[in-house]
Amino acid sequence: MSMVCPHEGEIQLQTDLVTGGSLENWTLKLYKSNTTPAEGDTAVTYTEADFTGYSAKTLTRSTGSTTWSTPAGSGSVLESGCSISTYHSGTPQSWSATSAQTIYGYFIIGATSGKVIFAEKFASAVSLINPSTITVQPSFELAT
Amino acid sequence: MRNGKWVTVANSIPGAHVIGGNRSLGIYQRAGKDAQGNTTPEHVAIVRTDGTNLTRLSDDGNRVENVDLSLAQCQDLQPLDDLSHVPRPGSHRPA
Repeated sequence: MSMVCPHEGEIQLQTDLVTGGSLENWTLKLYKSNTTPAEGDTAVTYTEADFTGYSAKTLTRSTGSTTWSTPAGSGSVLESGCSISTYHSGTPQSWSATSAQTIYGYFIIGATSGKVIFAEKFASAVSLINPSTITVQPSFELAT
Repeated sequence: MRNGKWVTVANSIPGAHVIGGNRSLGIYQRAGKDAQGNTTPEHVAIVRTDGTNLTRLSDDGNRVENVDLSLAQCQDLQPLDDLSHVPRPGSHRPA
């Protein structure tokens, strides 16, 4: 499914863009509610996962080999030629579950602002069992 | 239409959240690709009264599936700009 950048995420991103300076980190969270992301969403829209072994993950706002890749004009999802950056490319964020839970997608919020930057529902829900693993490869792609 | 846009349709759908007396509420989803590269066609995800996806039993009775309408199935698809009608927790339009 395609990701959604809700209204508050658009405002936060534009604020970052025009003000620059020190940027907040982002926090990656899984959600267990059957929720299709929408334009007016906020963090409380989503019911965060709580399976055994789960914790939210920090996505550091920098470019490097273990953080965001340097943005490049080689987008692959939306259309060719748009800009894309992937977090710790080749090493997806991973959780090892030791309890059962159904996960429907993930959302990313500002660690300080609490604003939803973007959210994506998986094409198919993931039914975790004990034991099992779920991975997410954060990737940020811009197109006009 | 933007991905994630709230919309209404004239379809009568049991269990859907209804606004304006007779219009079912949903979320427009543009076409996308999953992790395996499979394309998901654009559609409208119908929501229930708590703002989560409306589900139903599949025709073969073996699984629960979301109630998603293809654009061809949507009757009188209209964008919804007044989010005060949206039942979803926390949903709002920032000032």
